[in-house]
Amino acid sequence: MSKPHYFDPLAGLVEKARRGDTFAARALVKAVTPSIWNLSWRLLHDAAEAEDVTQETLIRLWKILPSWKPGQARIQTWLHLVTTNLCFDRLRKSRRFVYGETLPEQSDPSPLPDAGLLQEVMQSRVDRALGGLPHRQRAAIILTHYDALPAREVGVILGISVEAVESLLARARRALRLALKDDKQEFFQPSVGGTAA
Amino acid sequence: MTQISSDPLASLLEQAGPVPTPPLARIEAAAMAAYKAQNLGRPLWPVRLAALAALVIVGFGGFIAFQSWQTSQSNQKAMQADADAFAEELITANLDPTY
Repeated sequence: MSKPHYFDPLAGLVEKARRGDTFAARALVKAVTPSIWNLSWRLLHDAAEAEDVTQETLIRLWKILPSWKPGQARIQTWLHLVTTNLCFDRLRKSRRFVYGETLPEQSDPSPLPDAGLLQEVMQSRVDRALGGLPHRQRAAIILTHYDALPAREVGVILGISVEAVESLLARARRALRLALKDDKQEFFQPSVGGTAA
Repeated sequence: MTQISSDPLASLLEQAGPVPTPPLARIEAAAMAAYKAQNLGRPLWPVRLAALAALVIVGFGGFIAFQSWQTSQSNQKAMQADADAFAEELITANLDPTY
């Protein structure tokens, strides 16, 4: 059975970069860097580490280019896969709780002085809830929600079946709902009030 | 800014902290340095060998084609000369037309 062929919008740049076209290589770097950076930053929550991962991923891209077969996979999927694996390696080695050091402790339950602070607190709570998820669940949520990838592609990146992705996402969503349970009411109140007014 | 989506969890996830701007210039410089280093280190002999082989094949084929054309030309000239000589012989032979 022949392998499926995918449409890859970056295929032209990849082919030219493979032949040694420096301009195409530069354009390819500009096109893929933001998504690699976003994924690595969301997984690691550390700018220096995210930069290292982004650079390492691009170096691996150059290494794979000579043997890259166009049409068998999207280059973005491959880049997501490498980025995710590099981030997992770093998370395993450091064994750190990603968000714990930089974020404030549980917020004061008393009314908040302004919307900006409320938003800041909300951000830190969501970040902490995401950071509390196991690595693979967090990656599944990030790839599905923030990168808007379909389950099939997330499965390729994480090396699991579509059913396993769905199960991973269900567990992640359950854990997030649990972690953010108390915040939901608080979060929706000002927004609902604002819309009604 | 805040939207009320059909999925409250998705709305909550939208409230996550923003991703900082990537240091694009630094990343691009490092990536291009790695790309150029890899391209410089790439061996050129396969390309050169392939070009030489193509040149030899084209040259040999061209030589054979030229030789064949030249032979056919000289053969044609020889046949023409034979035909002319035979015609001349017939004219000068003073053959008896009643025979």
